[in-house]
Amino acid sequence: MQNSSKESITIAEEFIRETKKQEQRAIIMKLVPIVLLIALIIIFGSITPQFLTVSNLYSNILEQLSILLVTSMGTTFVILMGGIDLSTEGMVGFAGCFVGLLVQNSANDMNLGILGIIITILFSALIGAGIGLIHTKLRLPSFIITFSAGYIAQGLGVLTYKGIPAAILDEGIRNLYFHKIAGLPVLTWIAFVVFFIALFLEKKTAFGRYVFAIGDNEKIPVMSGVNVNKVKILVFVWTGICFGIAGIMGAAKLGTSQIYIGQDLLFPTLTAVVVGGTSMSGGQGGVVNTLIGVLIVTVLQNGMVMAGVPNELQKGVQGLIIISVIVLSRRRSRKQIVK
Amino acid sequence: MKKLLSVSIALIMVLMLAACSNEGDSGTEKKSTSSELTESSEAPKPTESAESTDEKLVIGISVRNIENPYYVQIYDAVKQFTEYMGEEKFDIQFIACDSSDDQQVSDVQAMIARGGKNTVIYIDPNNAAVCSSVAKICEEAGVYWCSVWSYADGVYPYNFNYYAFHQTPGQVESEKELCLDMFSQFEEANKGKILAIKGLEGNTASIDRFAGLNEALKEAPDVELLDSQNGDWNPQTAQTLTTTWLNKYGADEIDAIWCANDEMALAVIETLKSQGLNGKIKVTGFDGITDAVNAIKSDDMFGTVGANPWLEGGQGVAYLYACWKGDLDVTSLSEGERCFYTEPQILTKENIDDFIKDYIDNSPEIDFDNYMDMIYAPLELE
Repeated sequence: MQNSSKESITIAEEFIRETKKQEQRAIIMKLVPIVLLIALIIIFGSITPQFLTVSNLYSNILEQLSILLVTSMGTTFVILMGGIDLSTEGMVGFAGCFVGLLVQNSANDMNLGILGIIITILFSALIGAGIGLIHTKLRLPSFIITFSAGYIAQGLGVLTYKGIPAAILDEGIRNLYFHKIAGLPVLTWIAFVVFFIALFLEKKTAFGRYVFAIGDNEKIPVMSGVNVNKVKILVFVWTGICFGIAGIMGAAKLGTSQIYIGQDLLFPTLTAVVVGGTSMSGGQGGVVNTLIGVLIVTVLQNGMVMAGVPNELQKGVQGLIIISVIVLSRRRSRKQIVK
Repeated sequence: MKKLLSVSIALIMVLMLAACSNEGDSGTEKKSTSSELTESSEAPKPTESAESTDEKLVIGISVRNIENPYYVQIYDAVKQFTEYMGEEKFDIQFIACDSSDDQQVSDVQAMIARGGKNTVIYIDPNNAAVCSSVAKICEEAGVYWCSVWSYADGVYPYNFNYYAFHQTPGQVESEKELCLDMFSQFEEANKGKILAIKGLEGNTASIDRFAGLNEALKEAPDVELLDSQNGDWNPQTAQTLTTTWLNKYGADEIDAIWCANDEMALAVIETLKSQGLNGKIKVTGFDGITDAVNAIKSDDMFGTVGANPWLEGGQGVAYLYACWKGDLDVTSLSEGERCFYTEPQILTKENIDDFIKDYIDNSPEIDFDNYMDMIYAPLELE
C-alpha cells in the first residue's frame, strides 16, 4: 500500500515536471524568432554601422515592410485556419491596376478619389468572398482555388490597362507615399492600422477564436455548432481586403497602375508568416508572430544590401536563415507524420 | 457511378492526347528531350517547303510579359504589318511566358501546333538558354523564327535553315555612350559616384547593358560604382534598393542611379521624388517607353536608350513573312544579314522633343517592303 502511493506521487511529480519542460520548450520556441531578429540586427549593425542608424531602422525598414505587413496580415488568418492563400501576387496586382483606373489617371476621365479606393477594397473583398464560397461550397482545396484565382486576377489586372499602364494623377493617392507623418509615409501608418485591426480580430472577437479552433481541429467547432463555412468565407474576405489595401499602397508607391505591383510578394508573405511562428497546419501562431516574421524578412533583405552581400549569395543566405529559424522554432515529434 | 465517371474522364484524356499528337506539324512529334543542339540535316530545305498557301499565317510573338509597354509596341507594329498585308491572312498569337524558360518553350510548341508550317515566330527569349531549345524545335518543324535581344552562345542563325535572324539594338555601345554623356554632366565633370540596378541574372540584355556601363566606367576612372544589385526587372525591388542605398551612402554621396530598364528607373524616380531628390540624382534606363520619355522631358530622368519596337517588330515580321513565302532564302544571305544590330536611339533632353514628335504624337511609318533597312550594323557573335 505504502509502495503504490509512493509510485502515484512519483508519477504525478513526473507529469508535472514533463509539463513544465514542455511549457519551457514552448516559450523558448516562441522566443526563437525574436532572438533571431535581434541577432540579425546586431550582426548587420556590426558589419555596417549605417544599418543601426535611426533613419535606417525607423524610416527605411518600417517603410519597406509596409506592403508586406498588410499582405501577411491577411495570409496569417488563412494559415491559422489550416488553409493557404496563393493568390497574393495576382490579387495585389489586380487591386493596384483597378484603383489606378478609378482615380484621376492618364488613361481615362475617371476621378472617383476616395470612392475609387473604397470600391477597390470592396471589389477585392468580393473576390475574396468568391474564393471562400468556392472553397466551402464546392469543397475545393484552398491551395488550388487561390492559385487559380491569383492567375485570374492577374489576367484581369492586365486587361484593365492592356500593356500601357496609366499614370496615377490623384494627389491623394500619391500623397500616401509622398506625405510623411512622424518621418514615415502615410502608407506605413496604414499598414500599422491594418495590423492593429488584425490583432483586434484575433484577440478580441469570436471570429478570431473560431479561426484558431478551425485550424486546431475543425471537427470541434463543427460539433459545437459554429458555422465553420461562414468563418472560412470571412477569412478570405479579410484577406481580399488586405490584398486590396496592399495593391492601393503599391500603386501609390509606383505612381502607375500595373500588375508588377504584386510581383514577388507571395514568397516573402508566406515566409514572414511561417518564420514568425505560425504553424502551416493551423491553430498556432498569430499576427504578432507574423509581425516578427515580417521584420525578420525585411531586416534580412535590407541588411544584406547594406552589408554588400554579393547578389549570388543573397538568396542562399536567406534560405539558410529561414530554414534555421523554422527548425529551431518547431516542435517535431518522432511520431509526427511529415509530408 | 464514381467508377463510370473516372473511366469516362480517363477516356476523354486519352482521346485528347491522341488528338494533340496527331494535330499539325510533325515537328511536335519529333520533340527531343536532349538539350544538345545539332544542325538538322533532315529538316526540309527552305526553298522546298516555304510555299504560300491559302491558310492563315500564324504569327507567334513570345515575350516575357505583356505588362511592359515595349512589348505592346511590338504587338502594335506587327498588327500594322497584318493590316498592310490584309488582316484576314494572319492569326497573331501574342503570348507571355511570365519569366519562365520552360513556359516559353511550351508556348513556342503551342504556336507551332496551331499553325504547323504556316507559322512564324518572333521571340524575346526569357534567357539565352531558351534559344537552344527553340532553334531545335523550329528546325525540326520547318518553322521560321527570329530572336531579339538575347541569344545563346553557339546557337547562331547562320548555322540553321530556319533560325532566320537575330536582331538587337546595340546595347553595349549605346549604354556606354549614354553613360559617358551622363558622367560629363555631373557637378564635377566625369567625377562622381553611381549605383547600378541590373535586370535578371543571366539575362543577355541585362548583361550587355551592364557591360556598356562598365565600358563607360573604364573611360571615366574618376567615376566610382559604389554597388550593383539585381533588380530582377521588378520596379518594387528597385525602390527597395534605392531607399536602402540612400540610407547606406547618403543622398549627397550619390550622383546617379543606373537602371537596366525604364520601368525600374521610373520606380527609382518615384522614390527619389518622395525624398525630394528627383532631378538631383540622375537616373538612366533602357527601352524608351512613353513614361520614360515624359520623365526625361520633365527633367526627372537623365536619359534612356530607345529601342525601336515599331521597326524591330514590324520589319522583323516582314522579314519572317518573306522567308515563309519563299521570297527570301535565308541560307543565301550573309552572316551580317542574319545577325545584326538595329539602330538604337539615345534619348536625352536634347533630342527628346523630336522623338516625341516622330514616335509618340504620330504613329511611326514602317516600311514593310524594305525590311532589310532595319539592319544597322552586323553583329559579330563569335
